[in-house]
Amino acid sequence: MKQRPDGTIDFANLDQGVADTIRSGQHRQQRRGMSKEQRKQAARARATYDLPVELIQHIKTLALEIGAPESQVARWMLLRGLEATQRDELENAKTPSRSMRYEFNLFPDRGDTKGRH
Amino acid sequence: MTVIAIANQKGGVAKTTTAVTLAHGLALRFKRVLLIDLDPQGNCADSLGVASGGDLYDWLIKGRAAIYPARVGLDLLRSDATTANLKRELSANDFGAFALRDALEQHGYDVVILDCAPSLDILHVSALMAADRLIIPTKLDQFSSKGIAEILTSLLQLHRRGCRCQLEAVLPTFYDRQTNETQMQLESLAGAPFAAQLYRPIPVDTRIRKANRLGKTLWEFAPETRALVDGYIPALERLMGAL
Repeated sequence: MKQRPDGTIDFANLDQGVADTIRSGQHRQQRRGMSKEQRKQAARARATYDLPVELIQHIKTLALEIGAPESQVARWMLLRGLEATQRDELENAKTPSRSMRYEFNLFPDRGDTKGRH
Repeated sequence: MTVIAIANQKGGVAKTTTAVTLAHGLALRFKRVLLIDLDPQGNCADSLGVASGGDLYDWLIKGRAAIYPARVGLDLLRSDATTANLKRELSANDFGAFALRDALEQHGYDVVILDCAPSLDILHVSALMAADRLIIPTKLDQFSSKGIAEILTSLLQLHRRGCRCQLEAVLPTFYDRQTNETQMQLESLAGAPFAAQLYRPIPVDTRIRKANRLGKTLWEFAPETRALVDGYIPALERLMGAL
């Protein structure tokens, strides 16, 4: 590995494990250099949703097949879903909900209404 | 047969741990391995939980077959205080530097690993003259570059005298991902001329000391410990690819 003229590291010809170790170390140093507010901001970019096991497994399998990270596969699917929303497809999927909290479901009401965000 | 020297003139950089872990790892992968302890401290025997002995002196000077079966597929030539006598006798011999190379010609092992002492002496020279590959374990501190430079300089000098040993790996040890110093030193090594030979660092791991104390290898004591999973297993796989 050599350094480029601008001081950044050139990872060519370096063992992949070494390159990954260096990159994770740099990422950790970056995070350590962040203020508390900056770290909170970075953490807000994460969300947790309840999903059926089959869907989670489907994302995992797809990610493995195409060689991409699972979170990117999930993000891709969400983006396509948002596009469908813009085409009013979401409206057609609504069914009345028996839950006290929500008017509608998008999936059959089989206890999938625990919408914890 | 491939002969691998594990060497660094600095002490406490995990030469013996590396030698024992790689040797046993190769044996577990069905290679026939001979581990030779060249350090009078005799730590290989301690790490493997076997009695100490002066096998090395008996083998090289008295010509006695003194090989100790340490594990399935792994034999050990032990070292003790008699190795100091061995060094004196080899130094007095014009061909002392070739003693190891000549003695190893008779053996049919797949891999021979030489655990070198942290000193530049006749056994160190003899090890490099006998070896095909060199692995340099090194701590990630400000002195590490100097230690590596010293051994590479001595290797270069020996090349002019018929030594065929090539650098296989610079193996960082005691990698502590919490400290900026460690990261800085690793990046420095990755910018050195031998960057392509830089192996993935071995994480600091307290189980290594516990395993040594119990006379067990990491494979036996803690096969899922991070020093193995993130360090020695990738090193072993890379080494086997090169054998």
